[in-house]
Amino acid sequence: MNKIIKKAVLSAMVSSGLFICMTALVHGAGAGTAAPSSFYGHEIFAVLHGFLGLLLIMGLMLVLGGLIQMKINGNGFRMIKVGTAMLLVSSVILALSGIYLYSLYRGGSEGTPGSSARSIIKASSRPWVHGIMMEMKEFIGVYVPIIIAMMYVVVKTYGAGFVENKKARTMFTILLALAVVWTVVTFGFGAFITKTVPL
Amino acid sequence: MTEDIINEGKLLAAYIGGGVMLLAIGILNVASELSESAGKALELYKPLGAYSGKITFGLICGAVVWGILHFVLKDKKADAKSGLYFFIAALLLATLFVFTPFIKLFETD
Repeated sequence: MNKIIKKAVLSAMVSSGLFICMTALVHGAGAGTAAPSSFYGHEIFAVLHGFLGLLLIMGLMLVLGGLIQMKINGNGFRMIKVGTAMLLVSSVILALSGIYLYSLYRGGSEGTPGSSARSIIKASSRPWVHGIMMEMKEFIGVYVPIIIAMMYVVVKTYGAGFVENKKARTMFTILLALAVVWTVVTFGFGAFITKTVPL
Repeated sequence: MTEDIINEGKLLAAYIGGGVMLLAIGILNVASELSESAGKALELYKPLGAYSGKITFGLICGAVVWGILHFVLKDKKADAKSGLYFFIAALLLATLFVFTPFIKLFETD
């Protein structure tokens, strides 16, 4: 089972690397936004941020798979423990990259008014995309690593006893469900905001 | 059987600390939206505006509570279930506190 997971992770990493390298072949991409070169700066960073968000949702599903496997044959604790630690690290990276992108969304370090994605949305016919969606997304995106940290503390507290302890498994499952909902909502808001005005 | 052996004090501390982090972020957001002076005081880093202060101080508040409770509760017998309820309530409230139409209900002008 571990070999299969290793192969799956390796394949995902190689194919992701291939797609990232392919972006270097795109000439003039980003023209029509701020500047053609912005694709290599802001937009590729935003794409990677969204990609990492998607991986986080998939990772949460993988941990859910570990829980189901544990219920079926008693195995899967290692997958849950390692998976939760990886989710915690990736959710922190995701939140930090989101905070950096939020500074660009507000107008970058120069804070130039009238040219930022925020000012464009606020002046558009759909100002609620900023007023409600972005205002919520910037916070609930930070809530996700806190929820996942609680999941990790549950696993660390119970250790191997987690497998037999129904209370621990229930608490972990509730937190996992909360993490999935908050991550999916954050991801959905991000996708909608980017669709309205790219960075 | 295992449930009696495990000491849940550390877990309870984590739940309360995490809940305080969420609540502090939410409360600071409401405060900065309703008071201009609070918003300016929270502006630690200009490109991020008041958001920088809300997140920084919210996380620090929760981390301090978590740290203190960790040392207080680490050797004590505790039931973490109540802590989980507190954490879930804090998460729901903190999400409500960043929902702009809810904050607008308290605006005076």
